[in-house]
Amino acid sequence: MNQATSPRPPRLARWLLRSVLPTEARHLVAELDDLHAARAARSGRWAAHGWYLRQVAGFGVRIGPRRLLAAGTGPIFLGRDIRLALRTCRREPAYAAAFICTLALGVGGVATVYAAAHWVVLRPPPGVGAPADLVTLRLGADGAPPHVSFGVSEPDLVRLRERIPGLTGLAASTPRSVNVIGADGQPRRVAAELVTADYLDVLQVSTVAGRGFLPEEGDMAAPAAVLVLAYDLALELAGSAAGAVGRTVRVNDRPFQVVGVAPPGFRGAELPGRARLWFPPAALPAVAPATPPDVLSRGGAQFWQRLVGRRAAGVPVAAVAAAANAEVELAKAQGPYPTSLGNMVRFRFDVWGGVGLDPAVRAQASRTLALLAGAAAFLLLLVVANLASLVLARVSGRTTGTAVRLALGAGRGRVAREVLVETMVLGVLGAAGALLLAVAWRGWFEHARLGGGSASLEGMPIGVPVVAFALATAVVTGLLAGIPPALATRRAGLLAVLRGARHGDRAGQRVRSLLVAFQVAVSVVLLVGGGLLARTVANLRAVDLGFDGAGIATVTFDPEQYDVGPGGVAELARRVERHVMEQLPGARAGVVSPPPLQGGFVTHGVQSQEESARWVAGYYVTPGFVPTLGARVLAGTPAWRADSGTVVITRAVATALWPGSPAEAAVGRTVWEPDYMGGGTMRVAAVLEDIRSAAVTGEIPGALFRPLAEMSRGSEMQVWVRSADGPGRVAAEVRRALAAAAPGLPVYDVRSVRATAELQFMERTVLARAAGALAVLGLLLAAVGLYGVMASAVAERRREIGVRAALGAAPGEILGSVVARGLVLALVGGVAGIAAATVVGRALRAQLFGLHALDTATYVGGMVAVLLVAAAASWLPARRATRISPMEVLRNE
Amino acid sequence: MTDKAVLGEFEHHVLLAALRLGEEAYTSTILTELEVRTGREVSAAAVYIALRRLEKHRLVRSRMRRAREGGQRRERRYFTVTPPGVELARAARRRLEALWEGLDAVRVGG
Repeated sequence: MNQATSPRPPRLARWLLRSVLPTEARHLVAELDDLHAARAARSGRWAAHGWYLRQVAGFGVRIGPRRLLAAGTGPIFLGRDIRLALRTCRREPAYAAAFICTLALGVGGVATVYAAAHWVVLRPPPGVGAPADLVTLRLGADGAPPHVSFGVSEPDLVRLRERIPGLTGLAASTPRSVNVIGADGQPRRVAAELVTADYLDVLQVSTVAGRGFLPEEGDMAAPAAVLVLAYDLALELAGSAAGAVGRTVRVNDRPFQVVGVAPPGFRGAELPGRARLWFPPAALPAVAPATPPDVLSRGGAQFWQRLVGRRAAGVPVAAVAAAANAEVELAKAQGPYPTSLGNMVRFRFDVWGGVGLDPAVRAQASRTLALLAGAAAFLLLLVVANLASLVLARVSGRTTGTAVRLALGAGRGRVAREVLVETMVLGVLGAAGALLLAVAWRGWFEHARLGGGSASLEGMPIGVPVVAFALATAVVTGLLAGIPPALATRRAGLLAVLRGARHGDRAGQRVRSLLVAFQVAVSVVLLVGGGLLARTVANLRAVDLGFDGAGIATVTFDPEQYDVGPGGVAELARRVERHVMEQLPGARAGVVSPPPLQGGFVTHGVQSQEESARWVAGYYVTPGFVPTLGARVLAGTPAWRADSGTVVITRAVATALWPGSPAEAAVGRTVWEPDYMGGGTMRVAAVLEDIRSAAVTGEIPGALFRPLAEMSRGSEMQVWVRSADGPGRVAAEVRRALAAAAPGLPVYDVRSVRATAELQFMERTVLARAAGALAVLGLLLAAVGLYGVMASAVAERRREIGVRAALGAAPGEILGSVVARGLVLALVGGVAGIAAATVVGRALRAQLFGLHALDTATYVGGMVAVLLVAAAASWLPARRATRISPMEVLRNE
Repeated sequence: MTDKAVLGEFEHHVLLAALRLGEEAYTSTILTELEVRTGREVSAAAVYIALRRLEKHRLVRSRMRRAREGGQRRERRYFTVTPPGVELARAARRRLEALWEGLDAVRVGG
């Protein structure tokens, strides 16, 4: 048989066989080679390969486990290794601490991001039964931004219920914040939902105490001040769920009876939901007495904001969408019966399966989370590299011991396994550290909102899924980090050691250098990504709002449902304004409704006589507001007294209504309301320079300020105060002013206008902060890695350096050569990192503002930072190298 | 000791194959012999384990030997069946024959 031409068994399978066989049976490898060759000659190469693989599998199954057991001391072999590993931790606390801390940093980052992802997109909505059968309908309009939706009237809801086939139920809800007197007697703002009576039934939410809503409670005609509490709110107010049922709770300063308590975690059909209180239409007269009693029977009232249906088995989401949109078309075609589906705007239903975030928001949140996860994964890679380097250094340091043990008969597999078990044990400890960090870091994220502000991370827990995730990640990371050193252990040769190579083998050193270059590359990627995002946030902060928002403190209150005495809310607002100005010397104050910069404004239709209606952002304000705003007055009276029938507009409104004439010329002209909005006229009292009253970025919509006294009904109001005093002091004064008129009216959103504006790019701020923190950690880890490699290189080249010093090399030369070596490593890694960063930069493009994805300054900055840190990290070992005494080295020869 | 050693069917087969092969009994020849005689694929691991067990019970003896074959040096573990091994095989055969006695009809039918 000619061995040279006969096929060989698959190499990997042969290697596996070799590793599984005990030493005394290694000769079987050759025997099986021969049998394989004979078989190949007889039945072909592939049949022989198949046979060979079966044989290897046979050995693996039959003697693999036995070999593992035999290598240890019987069935508790792992226990023994674990004890050994724990003993190592005690004996080498510095090493163990470095390992655990590094791992905890990496895994903590990933676990925190995972917790956020789980909270926002991965988990099913808590408390909701069979969420997959649910379908969410949202009425959007052509041309409207994806997050803008419109309400559906009760008659339309009833019609949709009848006309959409395949739904076993269709419920609706409208978010509505209310003021609740807490257990401490203090009023506070609580997110609530007004819901149809069948809402809890359609969502299959079973109350843990009490009942849900009765069908008759869906009718406003039979008022009943009842509500269902969220579980945690029930605990807070009554101490227990059962104890809360039947209790009276004061909502918007009126008594309500608690009829039921929702299951723990239930927060409505949104995910992450915020509602903690639900009330049916029957409770509406009590919650909002100003609500017109016929609002539910008006066909055109945009009443219900969000529709949730339950599909019958086998009904696809698309069928529901088609039926719902057919109804919209019908309403449009058959009008003009009063309907909320067929107004001037072209409506359409966005329909998606399940409940929770709508797909656009979800996609945006997922993108942010994916970027965060990417950054965290990069950091984890760095951690793996660092740990591998750490373990490798330690294993190299123990080469002599290992080699001697091997020579005394310890199996190589045994020694390698010890290293692996040790890194795994440290991995579990690292996971514990990671969870502690995740709990700490959660605070950072808690006030963050993803998905353009819709997905709040408030209340995000570090629960069982996160713990499981962290544990798995840490153990896998530990294992990954243990593999290169474990392999290196297998190579440890007694001869080489006895020959005098005391400080580990060259191969280990090479692997560590490679790991360091990799670490530098990863940290450059993190630095550039973090830098791009940080500059984006800086650019966003620098956006000129058209007025100075930093010096303005805001306090919000909602007097809608309160009896605020004679003169109503307008008088209340005026009184607050006066009170604040009197109490805070030098302060300017004004009240505006709705609060600007929060996406809320009255979409005002305005027109000049010549032009058709334009949509602008309308605000109702008190006389003090425009002076407090401090925007540049282009023309007209700066001291506008908010007289009835007058308005102040911005440049954008003027140029839209009177194109061709200068904005200043608008003063004194008349602005018309379209007929469907009442058809009144207003005289322009002043024109302001453009301001960003709605969005920090994007096109500037015109703004129009009307006297607050003309507001038809009260709604959320914000006090703006320009003074040297902080928001806290301002809030105290506003509270005092309100106390007399409306005791029990809470104030909230106490902050500066600047801070409110920053909420708009909160997502990017979160990203930038997280990426920045990860980048700094990454740089630190890379520096530690580089330091370690350079230090051990110096130790290894001790003799060489000593000889060079003896031959007259100046300390500067030696220092330079060591630092240069470190810099070369950093440069190699850095260049690779820059290349990778361009890819990351492009992925970030959608998040950037005011700079290019390939912004040169950021890339150069990242590189320079890495090189500086690398120089510092190699300078310390280099200085040690200059102190090597030639005499000592030569004496030891 | 030998009497108490209970041989499984496969170990019995391995013992017989080693007996047949005499001087040339090592793992791969035993495996081939078994495959040829029984017409079934045999796992090398099973043969290896059976031989170890037989050796533990002193039914076979082994020694490493180097051989030259086709210009290549081969190191193999050769097995020899010990007298107790031979005796055990004989006893087993006797037991089997005793059990088969009077079952000629089945034998023919099979």
